[in-house]
Amino acid sequence: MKRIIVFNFLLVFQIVASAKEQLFFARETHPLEISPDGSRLFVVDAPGARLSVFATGAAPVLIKEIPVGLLPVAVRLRAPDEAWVVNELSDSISVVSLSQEVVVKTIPTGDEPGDVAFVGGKAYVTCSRDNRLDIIDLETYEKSGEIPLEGLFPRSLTSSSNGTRLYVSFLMTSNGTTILPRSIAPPQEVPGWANPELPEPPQTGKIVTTDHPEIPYQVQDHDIAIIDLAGPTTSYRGNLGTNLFNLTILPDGRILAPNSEARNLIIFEPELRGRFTLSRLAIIDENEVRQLDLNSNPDLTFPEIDREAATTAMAQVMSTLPEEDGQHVWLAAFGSDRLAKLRMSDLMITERVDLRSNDQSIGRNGQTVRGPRGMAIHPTLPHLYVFNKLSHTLTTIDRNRLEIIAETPVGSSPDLAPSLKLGRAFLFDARLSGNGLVSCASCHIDLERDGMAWDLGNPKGEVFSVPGAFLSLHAPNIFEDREMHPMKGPMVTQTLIGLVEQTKLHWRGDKPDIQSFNATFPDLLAAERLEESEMNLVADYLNKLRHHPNPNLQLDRNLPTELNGGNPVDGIAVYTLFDNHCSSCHLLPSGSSNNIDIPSTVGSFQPLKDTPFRTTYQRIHFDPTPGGISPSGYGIGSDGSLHELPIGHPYSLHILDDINRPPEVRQKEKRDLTAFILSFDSGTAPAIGQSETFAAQDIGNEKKLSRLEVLESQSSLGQYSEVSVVAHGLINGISRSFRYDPELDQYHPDLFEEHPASATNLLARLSSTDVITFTGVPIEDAGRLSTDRNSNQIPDRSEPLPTLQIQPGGTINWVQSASSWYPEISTDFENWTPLATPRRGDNGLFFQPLPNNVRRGFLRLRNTN
Amino acid sequence: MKNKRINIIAILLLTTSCHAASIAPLGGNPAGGEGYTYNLVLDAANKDTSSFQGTVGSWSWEDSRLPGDNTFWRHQSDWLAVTLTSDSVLRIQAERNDPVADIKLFPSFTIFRGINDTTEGPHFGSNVSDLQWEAGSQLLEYVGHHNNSVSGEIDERMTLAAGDYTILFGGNARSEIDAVNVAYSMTLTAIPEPGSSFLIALGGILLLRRRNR
Repeated sequence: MKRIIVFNFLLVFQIVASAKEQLFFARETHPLEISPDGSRLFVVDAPGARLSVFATGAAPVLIKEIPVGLLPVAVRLRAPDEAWVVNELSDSISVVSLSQEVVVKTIPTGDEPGDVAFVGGKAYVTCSRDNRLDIIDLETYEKSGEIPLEGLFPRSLTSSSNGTRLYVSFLMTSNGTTILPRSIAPPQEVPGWANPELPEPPQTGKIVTTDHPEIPYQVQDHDIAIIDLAGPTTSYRGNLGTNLFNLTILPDGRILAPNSEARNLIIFEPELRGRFTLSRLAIIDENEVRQLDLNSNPDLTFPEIDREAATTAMAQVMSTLPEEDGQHVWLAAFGSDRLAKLRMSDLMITERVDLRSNDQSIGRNGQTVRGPRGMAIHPTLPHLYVFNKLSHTLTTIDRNRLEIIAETPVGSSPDLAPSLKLGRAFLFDARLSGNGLVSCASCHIDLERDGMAWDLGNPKGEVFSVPGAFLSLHAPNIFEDREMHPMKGPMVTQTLIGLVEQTKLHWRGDKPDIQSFNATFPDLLAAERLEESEMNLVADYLNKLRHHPNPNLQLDRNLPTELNGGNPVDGIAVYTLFDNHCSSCHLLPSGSSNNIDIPSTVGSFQPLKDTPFRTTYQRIHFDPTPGGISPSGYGIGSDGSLHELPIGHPYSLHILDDINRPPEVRQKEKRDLTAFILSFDSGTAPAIGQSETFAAQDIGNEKKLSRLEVLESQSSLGQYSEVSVVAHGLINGISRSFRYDPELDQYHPDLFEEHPASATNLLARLSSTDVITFTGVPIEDAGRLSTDRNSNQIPDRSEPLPTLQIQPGGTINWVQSASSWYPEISTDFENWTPLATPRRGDNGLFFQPLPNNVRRGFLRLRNTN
Repeated sequence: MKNKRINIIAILLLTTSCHAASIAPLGGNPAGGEGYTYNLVLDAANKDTSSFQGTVGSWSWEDSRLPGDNTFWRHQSDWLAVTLTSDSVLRIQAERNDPVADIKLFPSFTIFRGINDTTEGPHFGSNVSDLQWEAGSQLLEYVGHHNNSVSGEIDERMTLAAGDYTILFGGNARSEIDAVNVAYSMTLTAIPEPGSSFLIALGGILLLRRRNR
């Protein structure tokens, strides 16, 4: 037992030591919502972990930033005074009192929640990694049940107008393809245009349709789940697309599902160039599905590039919004920074708006690429509000004039360093591609996966070699050149998250660094190569991205004692046992040695890199055994043909099948080892994002106090700690923030002149209407997310107050460093209204005009925090 | 003519008079040995035979992708320590014993003279030459091998002098074929070496003739 504890400590040591800066990528699903009267706009601010509240008018003005959980991705109004915010990293719902401007409850959910809908006295939450809906009782605010779903990554939710049905879209669905394993696949056909110098290509798998005669299993094509709430019973609709981004229901009951279609039955990179995915809109009614291609057919010009069509292309439409009359629908193309207005009667695009149209042509910067991902229409004003994920702005468009009125930051604090933002932009910008249709994110959706395998081999290429050691033979100093044939065959799309630990990239380890992917821009996207400095920015950004915590770990980062009938703690011993050789190649902490071992070790016909195990728990859903039924045509391994744990690939360097060992021992070892692999540390502490909300009556709640204690203990690991704890809430009715100091075991307040206080002390200060939420956050973000939002070492409530000046002509100004302040106007000094006119920044000052109808009144600045 | 017939009968009687003894192998190492799956002592005079089962990698006896030529995987092969109490013909029968018909195990083996005494050293070696895992460790002297890459079963005989031997047993599938562990069955039988049988028979004949006088 003692040995195990020591080992665990070492494991944690390795994990913690490997993680420094941490960025997480939010997948906003329903990022903004407008109040029924149009006076307020609620927008999620994922980088700031806040719900931004805007007053509407001539231009939206940010009037309040309410701290919520980490990575808020959806906001829905449940009542006039109550907003629910879905927190993707925190795995929770923040219930926000809009009048009190504070989180009043935190409701835990399944892993990586995406959206919420309210129907019949219940809330339904998509839990994306768990492939289920959580049901929450709206009276008790507690989970009352679950609805399991047969589909991968349920994301967007909508309900029928009569409240009898719920519709759920799946982000990763089947497109009717699967993999014929290399053991039975025919030899690769070498096209006539191949490099004649190439040797015979390796034996690989082959992408085929799921009705192929040699496929003995079924692949479900579940794109949308339809839940009849009376049962509830669940049915499914398929053949809608490969990756469904959102769902919208029209007044006439039809459903809109913007989607992309993966064309992975086309093989070889030169054949896929510029046309590998299609952006479409599925229009679904009871009896039929109409699929609208939103762009010109690239096949008509292939292999030539249609640069004219690229100027109006709509790539990755991730949001749709009907006009009030239901006759027109707005489409927001996340990859193209364009909006389009679709006439539903004939499905013609009648208008387009370029979100970059007001940009000055001074070159690209971090704000150039917008990434529109959500929209809202004002009920009375002609305003369309667009949430731009990548620029972290809110664009206001006059729907009559089709002009951009204003573009406003979503939060008062910068969301990302400009250089990182620019690096990120290259990954999403389909306008860089020749046809304007594709980007890196077309397959690496939200920088992760699309659930597909692609054959990106290039028969025109050349054989090259990469040295690899014989780790499986315990010969780390003996290297051999592993020959890489350019016809590598099908390989499953890998995530772009967590790359910092990997010194060789791709399944084969044939890329030494992120920069070496620059050739993908011309070769696959039909784009220009990026500048070297630009690729460095891409690498800088990607190297900061981290996985979500593995939900199978305990809050204190220890392994659970049981998972699916196995003991992960015992599984460590099996994993590290010399005779099993798992850890010889799959080195802790990531699970990868970054080595390319001999192919025979893993039963491959070509060299493959040892793959990390950080996210294996996310990908076990494939059953290719005869009669098996799977939600995807692809499992684990390089080509997606594998499915079993713990022996994930053909392998003999183990004693788990040694018939001279007792079978019951071997079975237990396999269960334990599987449990350990499924509990593999993702590199992010499970405490990050976890929250506990206390009201006055919760002061003696042992369960909550115990969880808070664990959170605090996670920030007490000295130099190895990667977690801090922040607290937000109302103390005596005043909005306050605190940051935990593990050395003092107390919380620093957001005021210089106030002494630190313990959690017990803070809780003791709560009045009957006060509430406070404690949240585990990445340690380097603790100040930014709590007491020092602008990271200037001055607590927020001790910042010097800005001065408001009025210029002749009726324009006010104040210092731009006071970005969290906004002007209010009053005629009686009692009733104050936010000044909702377009704001501009210039030379260190904010300038905002007074409305033309204002002749006299009082003005003041107010803080959004 | 009559004597000749008697002699033949006597030889046959003498050479078949011993009943074959079934020996259960011992798991693990012999005295002073390291790294063995089984160890056993066989007496050819008794025609000792021993049957057992095990699991080896499908390409454990030889993997063309390993460094060097004719290279085996040290820990995915089974190592058998065999002591022959007299000069013998060692009959080695092995077959893959897996319910999956197309599992690839082509049983192959190498015989070394001597008993390995260390677990140190590299994790691979040559299946056609002497082995010494590290300086100072026991030299395993290469005696012979059987390389099989076509059949799921083998039945080979090797003439060996009395002494200690090490058998390296594994598979010799093509390296590109999926790597799997495969169960096998093996039977080792010590048969009197023909020279010894001849001397025994000759002694018997002389004895009979002396009585006939």
